[in-house]
Amino acid sequence: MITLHNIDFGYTKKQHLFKELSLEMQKGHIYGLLGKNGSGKTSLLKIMAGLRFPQQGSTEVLGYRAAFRSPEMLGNMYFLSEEIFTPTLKIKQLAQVYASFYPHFKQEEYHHYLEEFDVKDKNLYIHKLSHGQKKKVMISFALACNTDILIMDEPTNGLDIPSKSIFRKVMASAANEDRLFVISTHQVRDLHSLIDTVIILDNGEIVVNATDQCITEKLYFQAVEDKVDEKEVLYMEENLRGNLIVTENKQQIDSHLDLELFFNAVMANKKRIKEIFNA
Amino acid sequence: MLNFIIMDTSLSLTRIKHLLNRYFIENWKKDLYVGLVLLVIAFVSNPIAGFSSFVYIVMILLYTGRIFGNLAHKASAQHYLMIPASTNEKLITNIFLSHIYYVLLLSVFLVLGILLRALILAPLCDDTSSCTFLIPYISFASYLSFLLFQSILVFGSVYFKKNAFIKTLLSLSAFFFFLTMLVIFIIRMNVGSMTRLAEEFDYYVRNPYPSYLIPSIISIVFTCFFWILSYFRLRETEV
Repeated sequence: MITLHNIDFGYTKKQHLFKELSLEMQKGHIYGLLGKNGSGKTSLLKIMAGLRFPQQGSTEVLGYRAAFRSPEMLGNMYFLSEEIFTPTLKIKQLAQVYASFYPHFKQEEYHHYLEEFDVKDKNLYIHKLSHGQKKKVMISFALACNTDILIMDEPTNGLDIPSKSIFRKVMASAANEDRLFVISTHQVRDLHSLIDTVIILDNGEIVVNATDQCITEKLYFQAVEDKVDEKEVLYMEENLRGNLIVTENKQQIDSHLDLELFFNAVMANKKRIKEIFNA
Repeated sequence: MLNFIIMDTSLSLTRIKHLLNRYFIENWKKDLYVGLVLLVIAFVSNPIAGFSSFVYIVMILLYTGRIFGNLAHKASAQHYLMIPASTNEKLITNIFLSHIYYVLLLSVFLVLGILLRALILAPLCDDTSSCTFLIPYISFASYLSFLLFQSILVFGSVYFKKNAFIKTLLSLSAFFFFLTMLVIFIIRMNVGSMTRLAEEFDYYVRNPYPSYLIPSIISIVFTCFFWILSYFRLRETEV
């Protein structure tokens, strides 16, 4: 569905953010694009959406060249950026005005998602709402568009704690085997139990691109109270109940993926983890 | 691998209708207020003095110069560029809005203001007897010149991200300044061979019925040229 092939991209000609970066994304997955601030997450999403053009390489989305921004591609892809623009419309008008651009838009789903997010008064002007409320409206609209591809840049920023939980719930309910979701965030806890494939971006390079199953096959996450052999440990975090550690899963023991621990492990021990995943 | 931008030929009247519908629902109040301001100006000012017509022209040019104003801000630009319509359709919609819709909308308010003045203030003023002062402005050649100016402003509004109207006017002024300098320079360098040119110019000025054919063709060609430039600039806009 999304193919990036050997792309070079930079905001200046001398400094490349991405160099020969390739990535393929398939339908039926919820991809979590993780990375530190400034790692290039937003730029990568914009390249996928056709809002930024790589200097070299090609970006294909649904069989269309992304930079062309063809109406067929845009009608089947929704990009919810971090800085949301809200038109001077009432909540109910948003669907009336923009639904016509999206062939699979479902009015009843839009209202259903708004109800889920506890947005009741649909006669309010969107631009007068709080940031969190605006986000809820735009997430509801994005999901109701029923596009094959949904790209979200930091969607949970500005959402309160109950809304983050509702977000995970509605996203899980909207996902199916024909759709592809890409969600970028630097708050990895927000995507816990939602994403099935993790892409970690660091310094313009994809360090890890693996499913949660693959991660737990290769790495072992555990909480230990006793001291451990530090040679075996890829990453360790102290907490009140002992230590949380990540080790190589040589014995193929099942463990539960701790996304934040995994992300920190990758940041701390990038070279070794790359070797494990490329083996 | 294609590394150059090819012209996108997709054109759907339904999508243009959706784009227009979107514009009208989002902006009808703003346009109405601007129209009412013009109506008040037309009502209170003497139409023969031409102030209301001047305001009318300025309003159209300001609107045209900011027709792609939503590209100035990151969030609104992203929103606009991600609307599922082709670059062709977005450009045609905005050309229609700036060149036809807004011109007609403001004309209605201008004429209404003048008529209201004529009806209400007729016993008090002697300037309200007719609207014939509008006639000299409306000629095909002058409209084409206006169209050319509008197409330059449309291009400026896509080209410059911030303060597009002012920057376009400054660029135009700079262009004509350098053009004038160049002409003066050429004339000074070729004083001897300028006699025939001066005679032709003199004939052109004295001719009571000058031909507008060539200027009209030039206006049409350059108008199309700036529309095409706007298309490519919009197509290549990144956010």
